[in-house]
Amino acid sequence: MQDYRGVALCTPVSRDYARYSTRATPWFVGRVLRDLLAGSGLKKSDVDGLAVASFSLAPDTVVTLCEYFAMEPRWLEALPFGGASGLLAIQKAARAVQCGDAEVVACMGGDTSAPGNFRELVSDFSTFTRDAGYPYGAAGPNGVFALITQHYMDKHGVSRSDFARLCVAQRYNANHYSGALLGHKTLSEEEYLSAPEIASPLHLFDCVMPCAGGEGLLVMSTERARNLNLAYVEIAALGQMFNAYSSDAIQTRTGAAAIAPDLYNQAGIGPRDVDIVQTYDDYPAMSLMQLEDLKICSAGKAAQFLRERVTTYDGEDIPHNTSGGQLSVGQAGAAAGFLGLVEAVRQLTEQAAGNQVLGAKTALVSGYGMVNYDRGLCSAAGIFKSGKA
Amino acid sequence: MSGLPPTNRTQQGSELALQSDNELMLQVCDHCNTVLYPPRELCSRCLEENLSWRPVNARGTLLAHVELARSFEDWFSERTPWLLVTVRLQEGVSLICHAHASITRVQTSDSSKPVSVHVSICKDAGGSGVLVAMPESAAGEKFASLEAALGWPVAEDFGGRAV
Ligand SMILES: [Zn+2]
Repeated sequence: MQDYRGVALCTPVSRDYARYSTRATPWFVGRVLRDLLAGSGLKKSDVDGLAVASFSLAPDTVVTLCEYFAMEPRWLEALPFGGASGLLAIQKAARAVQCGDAEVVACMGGDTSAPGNFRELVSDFSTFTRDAGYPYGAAGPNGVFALITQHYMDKHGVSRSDFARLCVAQRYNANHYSGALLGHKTLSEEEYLSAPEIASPLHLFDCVMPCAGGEGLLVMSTERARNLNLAYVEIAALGQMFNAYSSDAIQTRTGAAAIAPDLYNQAGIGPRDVDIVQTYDDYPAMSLMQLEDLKICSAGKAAQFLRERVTTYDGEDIPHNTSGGQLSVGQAGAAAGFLGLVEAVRQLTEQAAGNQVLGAKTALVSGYGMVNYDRGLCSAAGIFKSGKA
Repeated sequence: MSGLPPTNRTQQGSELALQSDNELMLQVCDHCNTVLYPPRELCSRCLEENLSWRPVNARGTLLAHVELARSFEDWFSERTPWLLVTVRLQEGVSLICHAHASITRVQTSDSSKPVSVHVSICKDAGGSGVLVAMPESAAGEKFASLEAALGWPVAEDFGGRAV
C-alpha cells in the first residue's frame, strides 16, 4: 500500500460545545471553517475540498453547504461513519492531496443538539435498529453497550472500579482542557461508583453526554504547510476495517485488532513507541477493548494495565484521551469522531493549552462506531508524527 | 400508564408478529438455508431474495444480561428495571431479547458452564412481535402476551405492570 508521505494535518479546531443549542448544524460547521481559515491564513478560495461528517445536517448536505458558505470546491466527501469519521475523512483527503484531486481539504465534523434530537436519532438509526434494537427497551446505544460491557466484564474479570480509573483520569485531563463541557467538575472514584444507574452495569459516568459542537482540521501537502508556516503533523500509518469479526457472537474486539499489525508495520514503530493514545470512548469498555486491540496492552488485560499505569496528560506512562475524551468533553454527534484526532494534532503541534503533553512526538488515534444492531461496525486507526516545521 | 412500546417496523420486521403460537420463527433463506436476523429482504449470504419464516432451534446460550434503569420511551421507563439479554443460537445468530427475571441473575462468567435459555416470540402491548428469553423449562408453554411471558400478573386494574 502506498504510504501517506507528503501529507500534512494542520490547524486543529474544536469549538462551540454546548449541551443544547438552537443553532442549526451548518452554523457549527461554518464556525469551524472560519477558524480553519483564520488559523491557516488561507482564503476560502484556497480550500478546494470539503469533507463533512454530521448526524444532524439533513435536510442539508455537504454540497448545499458549498452554496451556504459561498465556496466552489472541486472535491467533496460526506462521512456517515460516526466515531470513525475523522480518521476516514483524513484518509480520503490525504489521497486526494497526494493524487492532485484537491490541494487543501477542510475536514470537519459538526452537530447541533436540541432536547429530543438524540431520541429521534437512535429510535430509527437504521432498519436493523428499527426492528431489532429500539423495540427492546428503547435505550439507544446504552442498551447495546450495556450488553457488550457486561459480557466484557464477565469474560475478563473487570470491575466498575477499573472503569473508574479510566473515567477519573479522563476527567482530570478535562479539568485542564477549556473546551470540555464537564471540565469544570472534578470526578472521584467514589463519585463514579455511586452515580445513578443507567443500564446496569452502565452508570451515569459511563455514558457520554450528547451535545452540540464542531471539530475540524486542514489536510494539505507538507510543502504547502511549510510555505504557510503552519505547524503540522504527518500520517505515519492509517488503517480501517468495517464489520470486522462479524461471526463473533458478541463484540469482544473491534476492527482495530485487525488493523493493528499493518498499522505498526506501516509506521515502522511498535506500540511502546507511542507517546499519547486517543481511543473512541463512547463507553469505557470500548476504550479498554481498543487499548487491547491496538496492542497498547495484551488482550483482556486493559483493566490491569489501567491499574498499573498513569494515563493522565501529565503522567509518566501513557497519556490517554488527553482532552478528557467524549466522556468529559461531551459527544457532539459525528464531530465526536474527530475529537481524538483533532486533539492529537493539537498535542503534536504543541498547540494544546493547559493539557499539553510535554515532548509528545507520536500519537495513536482510534475511531470506532456505528451500531446497526448489536455491535459497532466501523473501525479506523492512525499513527501520527510531529512534522518538521 | 402512557403510550405503547415502539411500534415502528419495516415490512419484514412487522412479519415477526404474524408468527403465532410463541414458537421461535426466523427468516431462513430458501436458497442456502441461512438463518437470518434482524429481519431483511434478502439473504446476507447468497443475496437471493426468497426467504421464509421457519421454526428454528429456540435453545440458545446466554451471553449477557442487563437491567435498563432508563429508556427513551415512557412505556419502558414506567416498567424499570427492564431486563435485556443477548442470546446466541446454534445457527450462529445473536438475538437481543426481552428477558424473564429468573434467567438474568445467573452468572455468565463461568464459560465452562454456559447457561441455556429458551427464546419465544410474543406480542407486546403495541401488537408487535418481540423476542423473549425464558428459562428452558418454559419451552412449549403458551403466552398470550409479553407480560404473561415475563410472568407478570395481568389484571385489569393492576396498578403497576398490567396493560
Ligand atoms: Zn441464502
